[in-house]
Amino acid sequence: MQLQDKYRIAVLSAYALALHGFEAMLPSPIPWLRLGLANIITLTALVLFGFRTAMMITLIRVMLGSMFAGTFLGPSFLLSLGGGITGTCAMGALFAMSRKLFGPVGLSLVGALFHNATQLFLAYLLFIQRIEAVILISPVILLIGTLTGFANGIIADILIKNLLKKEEDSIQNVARA
Amino acid sequence: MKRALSNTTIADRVLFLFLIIASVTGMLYSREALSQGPDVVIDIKGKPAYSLSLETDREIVIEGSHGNAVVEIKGGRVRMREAPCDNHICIKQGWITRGTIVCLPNSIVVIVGTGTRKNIDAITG
Repeated sequence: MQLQDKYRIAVLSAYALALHGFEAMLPSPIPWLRLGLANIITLTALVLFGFRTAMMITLIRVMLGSMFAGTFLGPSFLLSLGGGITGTCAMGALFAMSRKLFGPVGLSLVGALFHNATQLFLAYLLFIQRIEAVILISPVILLIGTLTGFANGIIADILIKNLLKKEEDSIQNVARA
Repeated sequence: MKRALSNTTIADRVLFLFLIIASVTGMLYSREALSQGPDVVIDIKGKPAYSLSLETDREIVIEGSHGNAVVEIKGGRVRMREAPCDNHICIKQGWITRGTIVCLPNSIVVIVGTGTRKNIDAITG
């Protein structure tokens, strides 16, 4: 791993962790509703720096986030970890398959879908064990996840565009100097 | 906002629409499935007294205002087997899988499929 990669991972993880903590403090009408703002950083990292960086950031964010919240190795940590890993894997796989077909919005939607599906599955296995409750709640979660995933995708898209533009500008400046 | 939307690919939009439609139809469908949930609630004098599952076979003796009634759950169906009233409307109704059996003189109501449980209690992150 390059030194520059380590810096990148450190900085991006810090951003993701800050967003993760921030959204946990937001008042929410439904207790299990989360905006998934940290996924903006994961997605940006995936598009700009590749799958490995994105996965590292997700893992660091989930681990440290749960340690700060005091839920490390607890039930919500397991859900968070499972959702984070499969969400990032799904986005990574889709991005590796085709860079033209889906933009950041599509990737974000797929990431949110897999994240929620995994959490529902884990929640069923570990806590609920009543299939009718899962069937009832999953369309609601799917709808909310689609809406937040869409919004996050647009934000990530803007972030990626601006970062790329900045990089181009700095390269041009270096070339001029 | 318009500029941000113009950056989405066709596949993005198709996926978004598909997910929205799938979730909304899912919500409508699951609400329908809700009304035939496998719960049996027995009310005595307007108050829920028993909450049972349709999946476990059992017989239950209920003390009504006129005497004892027997509710039987078997093979995913419910019936009022014995009732102390005169007309026995509830018994004649036979086996049901959803809906209600009312034994008015005795103030006993058997309701199948309330499905108003809230089982989600874990917070995810």
